[in-house]
Amino acid sequence: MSSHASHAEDHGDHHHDPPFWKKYVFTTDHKVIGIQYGIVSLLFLAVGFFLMMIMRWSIAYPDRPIPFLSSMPWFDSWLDNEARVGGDLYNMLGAMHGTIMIFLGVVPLAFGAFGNYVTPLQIGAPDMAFPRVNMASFWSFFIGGVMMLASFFMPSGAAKAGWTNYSPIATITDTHFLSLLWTGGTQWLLAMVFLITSSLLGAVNFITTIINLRCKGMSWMRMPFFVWAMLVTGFLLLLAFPPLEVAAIMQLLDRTTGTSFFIPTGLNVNGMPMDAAGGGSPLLYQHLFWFLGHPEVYVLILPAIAIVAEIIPNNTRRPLWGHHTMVYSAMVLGFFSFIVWAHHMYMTGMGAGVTTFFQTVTVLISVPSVILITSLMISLWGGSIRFNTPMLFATAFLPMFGIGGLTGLPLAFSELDLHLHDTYYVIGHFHYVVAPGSLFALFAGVYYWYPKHTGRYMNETLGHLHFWPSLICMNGIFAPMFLQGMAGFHRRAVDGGAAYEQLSHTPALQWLGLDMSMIDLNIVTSASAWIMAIAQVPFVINFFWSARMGKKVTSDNPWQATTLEWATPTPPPHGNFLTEPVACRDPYEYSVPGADTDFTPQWEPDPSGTPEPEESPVHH
Amino acid sequence: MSHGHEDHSSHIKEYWWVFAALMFFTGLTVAVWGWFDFGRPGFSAGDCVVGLLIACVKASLVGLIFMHLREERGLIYKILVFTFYFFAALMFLCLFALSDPIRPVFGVNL
Amino acid sequence: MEIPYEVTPRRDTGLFNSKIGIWLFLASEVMLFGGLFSAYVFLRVGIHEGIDNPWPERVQEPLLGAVNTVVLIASSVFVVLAWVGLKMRKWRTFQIYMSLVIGCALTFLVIKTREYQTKMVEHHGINLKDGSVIECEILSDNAKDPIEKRRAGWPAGFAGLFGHANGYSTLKVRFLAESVTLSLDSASLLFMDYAEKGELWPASTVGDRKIDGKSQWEDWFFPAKRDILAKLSEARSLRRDYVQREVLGKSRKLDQVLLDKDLPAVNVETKVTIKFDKPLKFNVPGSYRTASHTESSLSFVDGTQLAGALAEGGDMIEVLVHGMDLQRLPISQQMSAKAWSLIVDEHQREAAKMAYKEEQDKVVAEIRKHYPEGKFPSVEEEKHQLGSRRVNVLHIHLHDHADGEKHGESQEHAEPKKETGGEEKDPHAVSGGHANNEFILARIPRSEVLYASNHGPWYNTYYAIYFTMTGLHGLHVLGGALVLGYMLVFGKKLYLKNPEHLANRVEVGGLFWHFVDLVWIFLFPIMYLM
Ligand code: HEM
Ligand SMILES: [Cu+2]
Repeated sequence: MSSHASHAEDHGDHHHDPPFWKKYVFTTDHKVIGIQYGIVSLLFLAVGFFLMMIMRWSIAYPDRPIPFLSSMPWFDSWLDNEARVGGDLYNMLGAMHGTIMIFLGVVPLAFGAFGNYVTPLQIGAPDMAFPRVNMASFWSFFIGGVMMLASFFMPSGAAKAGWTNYSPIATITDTHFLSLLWTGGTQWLLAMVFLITSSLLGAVNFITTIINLRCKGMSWMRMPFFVWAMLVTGFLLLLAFPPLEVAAIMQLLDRTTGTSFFIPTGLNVNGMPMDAAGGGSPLLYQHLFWFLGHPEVYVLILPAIAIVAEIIPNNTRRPLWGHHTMVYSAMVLGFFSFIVWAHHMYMTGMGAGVTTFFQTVTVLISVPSVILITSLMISLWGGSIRFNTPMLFATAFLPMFGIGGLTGLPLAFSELDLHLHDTYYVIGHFHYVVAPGSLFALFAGVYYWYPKHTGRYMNETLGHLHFWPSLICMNGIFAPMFLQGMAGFHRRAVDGGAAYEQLSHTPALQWLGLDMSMIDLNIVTSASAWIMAIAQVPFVINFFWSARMGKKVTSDNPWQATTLEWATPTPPPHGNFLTEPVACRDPYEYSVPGADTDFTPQWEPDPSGTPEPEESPVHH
Repeated sequence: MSHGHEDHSSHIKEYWWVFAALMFFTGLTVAVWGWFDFGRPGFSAGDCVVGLLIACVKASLVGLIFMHLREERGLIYKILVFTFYFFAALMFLCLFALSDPIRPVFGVNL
Repeated sequence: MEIPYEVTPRRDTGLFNSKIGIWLFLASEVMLFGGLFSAYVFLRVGIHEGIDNPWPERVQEPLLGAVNTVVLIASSVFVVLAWVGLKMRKWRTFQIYMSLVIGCALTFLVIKTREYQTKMVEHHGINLKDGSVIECEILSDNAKDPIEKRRAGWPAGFAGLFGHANGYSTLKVRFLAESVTLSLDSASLLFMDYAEKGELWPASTVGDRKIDGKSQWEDWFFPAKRDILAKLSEARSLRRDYVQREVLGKSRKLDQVLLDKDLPAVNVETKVTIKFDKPLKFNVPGSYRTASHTESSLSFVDGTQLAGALAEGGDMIEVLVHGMDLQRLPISQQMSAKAWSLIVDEHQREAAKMAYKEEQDKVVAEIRKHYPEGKFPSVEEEKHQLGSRRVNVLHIHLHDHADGEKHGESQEHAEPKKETGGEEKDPHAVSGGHANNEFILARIPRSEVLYASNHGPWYNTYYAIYFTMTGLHGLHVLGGALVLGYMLVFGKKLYLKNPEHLANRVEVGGLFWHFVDLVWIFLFPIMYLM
């Protein structure tokens, strides 16, 4: 296989070369689309991070003018008279940080980028089932993203009602602007419609591809866990997003034409009765939102787990422990994720019956999650681990995700949640899952699959420089939030909870031997966040530098992995495989007793058996 | 799904029969509205159940015959079973939540 | 490179790609409409009796809905027949049936539009503060007014969608303004928008400057705004520099710095008052962008304030009464509802009340049958036990519209047996010598009004969900028709090349079409019959 590496360039030349815009802009090649998704979503992650850094200043130093930004001409108009971050700006940053990170950062990177690039390769398909739909999906995402960003520059600024955009507050913010269309709240809703459309198109495409384009011999259980995770994620997106689309449409109508879907009777705004018919239900919005919202968190985490599940066996040189169990767990997780959503709504006054139901299923859903993470941990057992950069991130993922998941359990119980709801504890919980959790896994994925496309490794030293500070800072940011949250700090306070100033020297901190008050933790957190920004610099340098100067790979399968994506030339040409791929064995055959090497790729014929008889796809 | 040509022409008759049945049921629905009245005068739960049952029968006819579900592969059924499960969750859990509120302390007759 | 299984099914799954694709897409569509159905049930079941508007049950004439059902079902048959035509390689058959499908789709949309139009243009409802509702048509004495003209007609309410102030409420405040006070720093320009729309650029005085006509107004407004913004930002930056120097530079605490004597203050007067040379008449649509008004002032949510007086009759709304909806009142209070007293002509009022009473008696008799002897609830109990919805009988149609268009909103629930046709003469039209083209006029003081609008989606949650669901469904019909129409017009080439491929496409398009039909099968009963 190694000889393919050199063939890669001239392979493209056999065919007529499509023009630049067709090859890299309006492309239908799943790999290029994957890279487009990847680059755009990494940029969005940076934007979201930047917004957060401004918020952290306001939280840590609520009564100090903000440095640097106050002299930026456009930005300064948002600051208050003392050049501080005012409430409006803070709300705007908070809402957009959440929205950008989730809908424009992590999901497109996990599902759009890695899903697109890796899935067809791993099942031995020449491309996605509907390449043009794939392109439409990317551009729809792109338009949605641009709309979100553009809304910052409108007179009203961007949306301000939190990433959950609850009614009725979201319905009435900024309605005093002349044009309702060109206000942040309205643009948020319209942009969401584009993003949802993109996800739906993507989901249809992924599921169809996985069902119908598997190569010869690729039976269901021979599919790597990554592909399974994409299948489940696809179903989550497909079936959970439409209710949010409906909610967005209804809120849009409430906002712009004056319907009352989510406006209760007798609502007063600024002390005046709102001139609307009323009779609607704010609770309905929350139901529709969280019907998506909860499955969405599994959209954030399943691809991450899946990436880790690819990297760990590769670097322990042992099979993935419990491959099938993990597959079933993912399916159960998918099923349950649709019936737990109201655990976000304990505070809304649902009765005891409903609460008990949702509490029970929420606790139940942690069982498959625990199975997944346990399988990954057991996979480490007894392996001689290669600690390269992808593996570092993948191993760090395990305890980080563990902390995030375990801190979710107390939230599942309604009595505890009544105390913890809307505090920094919740922020800590889900950030542990998505930041040092999902994001670390995604970084691992970048380091791991980078050589497949560029033919060069990313630099190990820079990788370590990226990993260790990031790991420390992540914990510096999020661990204090648990303490603050338990002390009652509200999650949306622009001054970081000045009202909690008297909570000094609490037993928890004393027990930790710290002579500080809870509110001082804000500074620890903020400082960690800013240092973490610096810690990303090595990654950025690495990303560009290695593409030209990185160490060259010597074969098409540089990590000596077993799954089919490594059977392609480097980079894979349009159409992917040079010869028809056949899956002859299970995906994680590392250190098979009696084999010559410590890895037996899926495409290596199995002398003892023949591939399962399945129809072969037509090639060329 | 490779039918011969005869196969299709025999289907045509069936399609028209289904059309007739659908027309009949549409008439029946309107009749339930106009002439029969289940339960108390005016609209009531009885009308609702009967109306929706008729709609379900019509929907099954469309699904099974027009959409060829009758002769479709198992995979499609699997997708539909998933969908039905999620749909049911959406419909019934919301209702469930609604039916069990903590009673507000204000207002009349909530 | 070629994608496998585009035309031929894969053996183990038995399906070609686009068939899987369309079923998945339909699954997500099920969830899309599922969300809406769930919202429908939630909104309806979740109504708080005595607080929210009662759900308007069976308020629509089912005739048009039934016709549309027939049209859609027929089109569903035509789609399968068109597909069969292709399978049997009969291009002509395909063409005929597919054209019929498109025809059905258009018919459907035309009927739907007509239904929307009736609701938006001819039917208004005025909810009074005591809970009674007058179903009527608001008379506009200002039809020549440019603002009004622009906002008249049913698309007006959707203006908000296209970016400008929403005009959903048909209720106007009529105001004679002597001056307007604008806040020049705020980004909002609601007043200028009204001026622009109404082409009102009156001769006015700002300070000692005279302005008259659009260009002079603009010559004054935009520079003035720029000027104030510049002043404001200068003052702000002085202050910010000071604060920054002290807090960041000398690390003093902000609360001390704020006490400093030489801390620059930001007090730029941003409000400007413009005097009109002669009082100017405004018709402002009531909406939540109009914050409030009193006898002598009217303000917008952006802080714009008009000073002057309510125009004569400015707080009186004249309407032609179609019917009374007193469902929210207990039966024993219905005859003394505020709504009655607003009918101008005394004879008409008495006749109407009599007709109403007659109906009420029937209903009460009907209800009594459900209670044991002597157990009929008292007023208070009735309100609590029966709830207004359970005595939802008293929504009576008083007057037939002159043009003979039957009002959907005229259902009468006392009568268990109900004719379906739209033609029948309303049995409860007020008699007493009033011919069909004589109207019942009512004058309603604005102070009595809780909420008023046409029967667009903003009228109540029923209309909201009705318009949203049928609108979204209508878009699906349109989209489906476009796709199928494309195959009809441009399919020949593919047919000659690979007829099976075209048949597959038609099958997939057909599946979508049947789904659209299927949604309507449920929409029809829940929107029209329940
Ligand atoms: C493993 C079991 C888990 C349990 C039992 C759990 C439980 C909960 C509960 C009860 C809440 C609501 C807290 C409140 O608002 O008062 C919550 C919030 C949240 N969870 Fe989890 N969770 C789990 C895993 C996850 C995972 C894997 C993710 C993401 C990848 C996640 C992301 C979130 C997010 C984003 C929120 C907050 C949403 C918001 O209010 O803005 N959770 N979790
Ligand atoms: Cu959740």
